[in-house]
Amino acid sequence: MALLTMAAIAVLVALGAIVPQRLSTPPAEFAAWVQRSSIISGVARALGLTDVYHAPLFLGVAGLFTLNLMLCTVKQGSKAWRRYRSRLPVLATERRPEAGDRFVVSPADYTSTGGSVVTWLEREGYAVRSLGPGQWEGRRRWFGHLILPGFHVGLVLVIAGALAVSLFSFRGYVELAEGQGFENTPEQLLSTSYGPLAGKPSGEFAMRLDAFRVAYHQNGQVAVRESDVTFFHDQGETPTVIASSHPHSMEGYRVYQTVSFGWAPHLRMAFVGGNTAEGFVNIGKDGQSGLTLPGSSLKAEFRLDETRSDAGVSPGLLQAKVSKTGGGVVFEGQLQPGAAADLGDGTSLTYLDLRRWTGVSIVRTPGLWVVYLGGSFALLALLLHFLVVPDRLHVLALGGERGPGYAVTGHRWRYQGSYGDRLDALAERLGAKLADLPDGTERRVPERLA
Amino acid sequence: MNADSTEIIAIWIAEFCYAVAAALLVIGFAFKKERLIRYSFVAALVGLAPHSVAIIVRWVQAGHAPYIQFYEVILSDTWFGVAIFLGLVWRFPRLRPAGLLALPLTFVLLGIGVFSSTEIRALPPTFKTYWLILHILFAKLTYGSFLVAADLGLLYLLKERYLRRRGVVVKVNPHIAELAPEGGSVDGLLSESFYRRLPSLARMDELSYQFAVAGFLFCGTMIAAGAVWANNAWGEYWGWDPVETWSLVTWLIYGIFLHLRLQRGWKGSRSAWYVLGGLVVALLAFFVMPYIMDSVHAAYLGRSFQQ
Repeated sequence: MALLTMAAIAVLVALGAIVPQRLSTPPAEFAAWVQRSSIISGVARALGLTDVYHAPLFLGVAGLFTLNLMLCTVKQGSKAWRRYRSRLPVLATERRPEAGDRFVVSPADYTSTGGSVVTWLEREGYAVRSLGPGQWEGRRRWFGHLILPGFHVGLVLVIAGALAVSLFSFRGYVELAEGQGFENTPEQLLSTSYGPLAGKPSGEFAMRLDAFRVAYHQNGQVAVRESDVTFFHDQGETPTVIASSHPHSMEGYRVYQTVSFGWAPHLRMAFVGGNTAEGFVNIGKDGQSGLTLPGSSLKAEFRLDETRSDAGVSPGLLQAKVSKTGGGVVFEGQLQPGAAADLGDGTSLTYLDLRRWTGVSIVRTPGLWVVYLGGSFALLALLLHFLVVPDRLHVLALGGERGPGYAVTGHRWRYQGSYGDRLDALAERLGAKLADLPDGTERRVPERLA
Repeated sequence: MNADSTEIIAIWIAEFCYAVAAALLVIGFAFKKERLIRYSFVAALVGLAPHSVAIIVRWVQAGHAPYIQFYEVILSDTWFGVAIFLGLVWRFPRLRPAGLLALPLTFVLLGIGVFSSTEIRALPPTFKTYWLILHILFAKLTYGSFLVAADLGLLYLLKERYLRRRGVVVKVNPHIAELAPEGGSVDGLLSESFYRRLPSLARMDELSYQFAVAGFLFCGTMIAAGAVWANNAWGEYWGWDPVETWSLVTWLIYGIFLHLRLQRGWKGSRSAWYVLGGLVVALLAFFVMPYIMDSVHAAYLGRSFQQ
């Protein structure tokens, strides 16, 4: 089952990487592919391969894989326990030899009491217990039995955490000009996406963009994008910096610096009767048209002097064209910071100053810590599996017709071709060590081996 | 001599040394000349020195470790491949012929790298994180480990074929054992053979498995570090990007291998063939997919940066 589900997942995700995916491919590109390869795309769509990560087939296989992981963890745990309790073949003839079993006989003469065997085994790192006259058992790194089940538990946690993230996650996006504030509510976000069970943000915190900086490499590539922001929350204010790959956590959300940025003329509209409205109009690097002016239905097109200087756009000159919604230009000309333009009907537009704007993502992913915990657990278990292999020895004092010496049986809980050699060396060292001891000690030999 | 020319000269010397090393090894293997194989090891060791110089010069010039362009990726990946192989041979001198796959592949990959664009590209802002260093370091360790595992698998298959042709029965379960035909001994059969210096089949099989497990661990760590980085950069720890997806496929392929090994007792030639196939998948994931698919990792190959 494990093999089948892993193979099926590998095949499906490999196909998912090759076949254009409906959600991640630009719509025009996807439509062109469907038209260009009608047979292949037809088959792919019929099998759900154009949205493979949400296809019932993939989700079913992933579910089976998870179920298998859980069953496997239980099975491995009980198997490890049975093995831990079982006796090695030299003492329990009813037990069939397993892959890790090795049996060697020490070539040295028997010259010692059991006490020295215990001492020797303990020096080798074994926990020793006596199994009767002339019989000892040593266990080493017994906790290694828990490693493989632990690895599988880690993977189950990763999957459980991923499920929680997909169900409860929230993502929003907002663009802020320097000095502009934002309360974490859906109404203020330009775009949002919710998991099926995700709650809506409800003003858990507020933030203000104090400054945005962008720096360039010599070849024109962006080198640094970072924002000074101040968070407002129940405990007070927290000024901080967010930058690419360095988000800030706040009240269960993470706030990310995104790649979007540009210039935002800070405008004040004055209307008949003395009413005023202030706001920012974010314009991208390439300029945008048809932006609505604050507090009015007037549309404006702005263009900036793109000459770069230490102060940014130099000297902040704004080419403005303001039109009524139904058409008809009411103002067209260049504005300097602080200058006002008469738009007619008692309305005026004052260009206060020029500021930067940047995009900020607000993300909440409850359950992500479970993914991280599970991943860390699984990797740690894998590392330990590599380094820590439990093994145990049974040592029997021999005598009588079988000749003097020790029978040493070992079992290592992972296949290792050279384990037999190591066990030989161990038995030899055991014999050599004991051969150094003075003669005349009591011989204690199990009856059935004597 | 400026830094540019130092790097170019160093990399060409390294390429020349690897070419010599690969040629000596292949000829030595084909004509059973052990001395040539020893020399190939020395040539590879000599080649690693200018290779290291080229990496250091590049690092200083670019202001970051060499990892964001096809040339840089090849430069550092091949260095790791050769270093891990040489480390293995240092520890087990009898495994010198194991470069049969590693050295020619290094020569070919480095050759492709040398002829690609060597333009230095600046780091995008999202790349300025320690997680990236972990992600990339473990990617290279993964490649090196899988390469050496496959190398040992290849050597296993060659020795096993030699023994089988001489009537030796290779028993796989419960332990790999070489059983000589009646009245003979394996040592006797190998006494005149080039293969006598190689470790036993059981040892090679075990080492191959250990490198595969190490690669599996490194691959998992690479994926995990990449996920943390992606979450820090974009708020998404997993985006089904084609290259990360193929890394997952590689990880699953080796995960299946561990299951086959531990549960089904796959050892010997089946295991060796599997790790060779696994290397092909890993090479696809590391060197082909970023090039042919639209991916965040496309930056590796000097394609457009996804910032």
